[in-house]
Amino acid sequence: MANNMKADASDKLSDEELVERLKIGDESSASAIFRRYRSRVYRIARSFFDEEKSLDVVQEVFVHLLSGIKGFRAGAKFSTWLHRITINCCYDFLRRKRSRKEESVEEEILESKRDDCETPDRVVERRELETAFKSALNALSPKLRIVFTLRFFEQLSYTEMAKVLKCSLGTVMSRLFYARQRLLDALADYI
Amino acid sequence: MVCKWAEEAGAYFDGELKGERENAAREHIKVCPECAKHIEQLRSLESLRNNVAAEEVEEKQWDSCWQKIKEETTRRILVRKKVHFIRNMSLISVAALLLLASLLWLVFAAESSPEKETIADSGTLEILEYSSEYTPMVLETENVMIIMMVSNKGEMGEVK
Repeated sequence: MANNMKADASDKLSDEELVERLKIGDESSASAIFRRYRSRVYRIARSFFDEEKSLDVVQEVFVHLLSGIKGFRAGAKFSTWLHRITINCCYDFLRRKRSRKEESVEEEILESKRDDCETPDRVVERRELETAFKSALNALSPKLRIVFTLRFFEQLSYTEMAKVLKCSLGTVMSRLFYARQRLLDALADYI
Repeated sequence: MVCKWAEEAGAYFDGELKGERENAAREHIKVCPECAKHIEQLRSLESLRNNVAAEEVEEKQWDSCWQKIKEETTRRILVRKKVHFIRNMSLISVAALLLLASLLWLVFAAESSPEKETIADSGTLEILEYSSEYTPMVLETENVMIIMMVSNKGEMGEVK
């Protein structure tokens, strides 16, 4: 496993090339894949969990990916596989979390990093919007939330979402519509 | 009341419709104020992306996360190897036991099978089943086969 987290020549390789090299034990490919996809996995996890838990999800996703890379079918799209693992991990963590108390969304936002470039008014305004948005997102069912997150943050196509979620295009379209409708209703004051 | 075309309008907004469906949606949005408003709302929702994007994780947090990933991956691979080793050893043990049992059975079967001895160059003597009083034997030569019942007390029984 690579110790060096700095960018190297592996970062220029395609996903398929990295996976093939990883399968034969190339260590730099593992860290290149991590650097390439860590933020995407984190963003998806972040729509469900707080920062700490989201990093736990990232950890679990990459451990699963690296220890099971030989099970990855040649010809399949790597990002679809990774999104699938991410969503499964999020659902697993959600199941574990059900018995525990939900973290306060507001508290999470207040703990987030302060942007010094913004005026205090702008910071307050942005935080208020973030809070409202995250509350509205958290109020969605996991199925609606994941469809919205994959489209809104990851900008996946409907076909990719259908593959990742193992459902029909019609289901994707319908879930996305309802997710957006509910968010629009909840955020009516801000839009 | 939501227009029944609203879902289609959303897909049009996302650039997911092609050909006739795309044209039909475009034409519908032109004449439907509800769908036109829906498109505007979707545009506003999209504009929130930069405001609500997840915060960046600091590099040192990524480093720490990566270290944990490497340790946990190594641990899981080792555990998996151990499990494979134990499973393989179990299979080998079962196979060895089966082989041993087969060999024992063959030895036992050979010992309990009818004896056949060669008598000089003239033929073979086969001892058939044992009984408490007589032991049947077959004496076979090139031209003759003799079946004998030999008394277990050493007396000749019946000769055919």
